[in-house]
Amino acid sequence: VSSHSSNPLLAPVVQYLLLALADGPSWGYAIMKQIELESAGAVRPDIGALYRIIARLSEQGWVEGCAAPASADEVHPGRARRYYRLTRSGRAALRTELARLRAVVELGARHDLVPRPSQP
Amino acid sequence: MNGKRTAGSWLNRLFGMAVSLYPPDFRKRFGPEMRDAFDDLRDDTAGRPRADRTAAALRAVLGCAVGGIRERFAPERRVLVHVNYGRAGSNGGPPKVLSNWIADVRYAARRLRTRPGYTLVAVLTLALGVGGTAAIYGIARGLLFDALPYADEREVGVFWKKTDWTEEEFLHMRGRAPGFREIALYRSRDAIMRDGDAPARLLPGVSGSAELFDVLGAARVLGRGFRAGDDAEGAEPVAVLSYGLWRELGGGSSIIGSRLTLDGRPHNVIGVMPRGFWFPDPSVRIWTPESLSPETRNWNSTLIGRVAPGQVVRAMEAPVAAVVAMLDERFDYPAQWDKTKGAHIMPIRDDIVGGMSTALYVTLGAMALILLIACANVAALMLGQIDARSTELAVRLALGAHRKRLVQQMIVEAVLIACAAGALGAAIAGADSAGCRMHCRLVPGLNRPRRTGPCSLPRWQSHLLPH
Repeated sequence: VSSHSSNPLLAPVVQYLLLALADGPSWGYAIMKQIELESAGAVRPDIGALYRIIARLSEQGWVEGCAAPASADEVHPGRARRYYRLTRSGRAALRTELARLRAVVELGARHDLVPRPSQP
Repeated sequence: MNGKRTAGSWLNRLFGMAVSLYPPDFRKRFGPEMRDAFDDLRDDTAGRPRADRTAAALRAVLGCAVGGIRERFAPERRVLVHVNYGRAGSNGGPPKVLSNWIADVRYAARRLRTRPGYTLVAVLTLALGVGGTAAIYGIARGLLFDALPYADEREVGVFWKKTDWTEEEFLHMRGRAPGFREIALYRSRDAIMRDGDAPARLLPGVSGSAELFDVLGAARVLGRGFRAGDDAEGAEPVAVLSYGLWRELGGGSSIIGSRLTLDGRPHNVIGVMPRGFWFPDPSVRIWTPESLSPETRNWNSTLIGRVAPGQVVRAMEAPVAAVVAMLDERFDYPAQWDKTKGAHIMPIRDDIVGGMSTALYVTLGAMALILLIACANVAALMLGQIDARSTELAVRLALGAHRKRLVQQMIVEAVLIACAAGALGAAIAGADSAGCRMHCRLVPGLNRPRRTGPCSLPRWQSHLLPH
């Protein structure tokens, strides 16, 4: 995973995690729930896997810790809630990954296997 | 919410243990967040049935533990890469390696079930070897390897002519025996206990001089041991209880200062010995001070001493010679009872084990050999199985099974047999102990180690009888 221009195919959980942060900062358990929701239950990272991925993505420079957004819910007393957000390179990597997925889907559409994706 | 946290505290502790599997840097950075995420998970599942809640939490614990092991041993960036599309791993479910093992366990269990003859013979053969070895080791460990329940047992020695000393001799030597910090006298004194309206009980007991517990160097769990004056003529009768007897009498701290009727006389309970303490053998339940008198000429006591600092029990020739000179000066012994002959101090462990240590080592070695033979037999059985499975293995290889995976599958099968044999062996060893316990209780005299006999091994009994 040296650069987004030559990304190997990312694991689904990473794709969904990056997507979960695409709309703004979020925190551990909320990211987990959003991944589960947006993948319709197909991808369900456990807590250990989630934080291992966050650790790797942080090393990669794709996500970073940040302050809680102003709209954040009140945290349960005594709990640490750390927020993460996509970095610029993380967003670029996600775009590259989505473009590749789109290319794959378009290839499938050319073979009449799936409907052609609508243009953005 | 806090209540739910408390209710799930064992799960939180389990999760904390799983987090502790991660490398320290990782733990420091993400540990608190992971724990809070676990709390969030528990809050989130709080409305579900209890079984569902627990299952979800246990899944989280398992996933976290697996992640910790992987992070510790393979913290590679591959976690980001799509290696197993749609398969288990970082996207949920158990990792592939784990699922392989689970599949192998299932396959091995199914295979063993379909070959009951082979399974039964292999498990029984190993179990008998394991059970026998475990039972003998249980005895040998206590006698040969475990520390005795006395402070620095190497300083404690038993005087020659065991059970052949008088109070007069002890009082003559008391406080004057060179080379000894202290010496004590004790003798067997069983007592009939009456506790309220309960039926009278015969308690195996020992009476001793005031120095007895100081010589043994044993702390009390409650109260005190004997002290100077307790063994004087006319002193208030007192008693120290074993842990087991104390528990039988209610196990409360109010026992100290209460009165027990022993042999028709009220005794003040002054102390309780800790769990695991025994002296001179595990059957003894009560210790009382012996009322010492120089006029008493009963030849039925044993002397025990703790050597002075810098002395070693095995090298006490000079102090023993001085003790012999003291005795020779004061007493005239008939030739057949001459205590000035054959004088020596025996380390307390040697006194307890007696001549059994060689026999125990030999028995242990023999049982180990039997276990080895059992293992060889089971190995031969397994080799026969592999021969019979050659077609199956060839087909699996032809279908693309990896050789490593086939080996892994056979290892899992062997481990299953070993686990079953281990469990059955433990049950056999336990049954051995229960049988010995019953034997010791049913056969009068066998539960008193000071007498001779196979059940006279004190530490063996310490595993069998309540202290």
